[in-house]
Amino acid sequence: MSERFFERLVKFYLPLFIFLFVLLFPFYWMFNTAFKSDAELYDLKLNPFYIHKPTLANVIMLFKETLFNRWMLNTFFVAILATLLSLVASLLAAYAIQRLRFKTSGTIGISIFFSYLVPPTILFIPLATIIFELKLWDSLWSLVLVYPTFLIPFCTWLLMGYFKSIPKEMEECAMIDGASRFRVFWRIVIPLALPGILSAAIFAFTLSWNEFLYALVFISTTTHKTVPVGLITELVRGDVYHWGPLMTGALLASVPVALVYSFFVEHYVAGMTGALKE
Amino acid sequence: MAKVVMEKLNKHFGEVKAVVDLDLEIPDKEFVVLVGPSGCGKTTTLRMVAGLEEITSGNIYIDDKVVNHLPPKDRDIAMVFQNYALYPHMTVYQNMAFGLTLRKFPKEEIERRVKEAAEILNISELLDRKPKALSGGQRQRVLWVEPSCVSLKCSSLMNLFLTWMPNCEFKCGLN
Repeated sequence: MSERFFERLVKFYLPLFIFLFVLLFPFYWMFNTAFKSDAELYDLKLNPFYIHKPTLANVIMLFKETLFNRWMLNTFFVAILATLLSLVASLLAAYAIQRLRFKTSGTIGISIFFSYLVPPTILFIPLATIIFELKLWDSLWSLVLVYPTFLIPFCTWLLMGYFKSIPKEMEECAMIDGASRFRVFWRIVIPLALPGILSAAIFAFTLSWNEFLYALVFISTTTHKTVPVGLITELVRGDVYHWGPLMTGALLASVPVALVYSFFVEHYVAGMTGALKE
Repeated sequence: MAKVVMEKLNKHFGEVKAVVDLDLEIPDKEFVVLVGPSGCGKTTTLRMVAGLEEITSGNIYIDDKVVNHLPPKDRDIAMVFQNYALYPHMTVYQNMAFGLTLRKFPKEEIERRVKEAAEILNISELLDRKPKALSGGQRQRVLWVEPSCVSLKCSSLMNLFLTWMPNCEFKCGLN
């Protein structure tokens, strides 16, 4: 009995604990810093691992001296629109590539994947020209338009794999029942692929929520910034780091993502394993 | 019901010739069985009649009408697949009503027909269940009911395991 417990401890609980520690420590540090005063933060004699005198000064500064609320709204707006746009496009693309089997479907599938591999640090230069030509410079719409450039390839690739797991017979059966191709897609394929679609949506939402580079390059007005860019550009003034409000902002900004994850986690796990058992 | 005619029917998958010059006439109300070793083209032939597979050359007539390029939904046919013929996200009732709904039958008519068919095959109490909660035999019975709900020109039972033969005969007699 005790030997088995020891074995479980070494093989299961210990690695789990290390993993949890590595994952959760940054959150603990954000929380820790968010509620400390500057005086306490810079006092090297105090134990840095817990809060001696908790204060809300950082929260108040974040909301009063910056446009944090506005940035949150901006980020929501961009993340939701970009996710929806990418999902619609990649659902249609993935289905066409997987099921319609036209001559170049294989090549297109692979080239979509390759386009995902081009790093944004290179891509932002031509994209900047396009955004400028479209007169969308410094507008949130530029991000709504640009984010799908990396979301669509990603979601398409993910959904292609998922569609593959849906038996073709199921669709053919519906066609014989009298459904058109679009009807089959809407009534059969989408409901069956829901776990996969949810995974794609969560990924797309998280990626666009956290996106930094494009938002930094294309947006310059404070009121148009997203959370990641707003925090860095407005709370790092010259060489002064306002650690307290920075960490408060980071903590609050991770809440929506955490909520989205926990809400869909069951579907999400099912989506990752491509589970369709019938 | 209807007459089905195949005329010089060919199907090639690249180099492979799956069906070569098939001539077959199936008169109205005829019950036909295709038998042969696996890979000889039975399934491909059925799929071509159903419209799931493009034909390479030749003609298919249903009721003296050429249907070569007609999509499956416009051919007025039924087909039972060996596997996967029930939609896992719908209840048995929704599964059975699916074809009728697509053919735009009135709601009361759909309900009447589905209930009637369910009674004949003894699955009335299963209507609210999802396919996952059915046994193999029960699933097969639902499959059989699906095409029988709709009045169709012709129906093919592809690779159907007739594990519940007595019931089946009973129903065929009714039709």
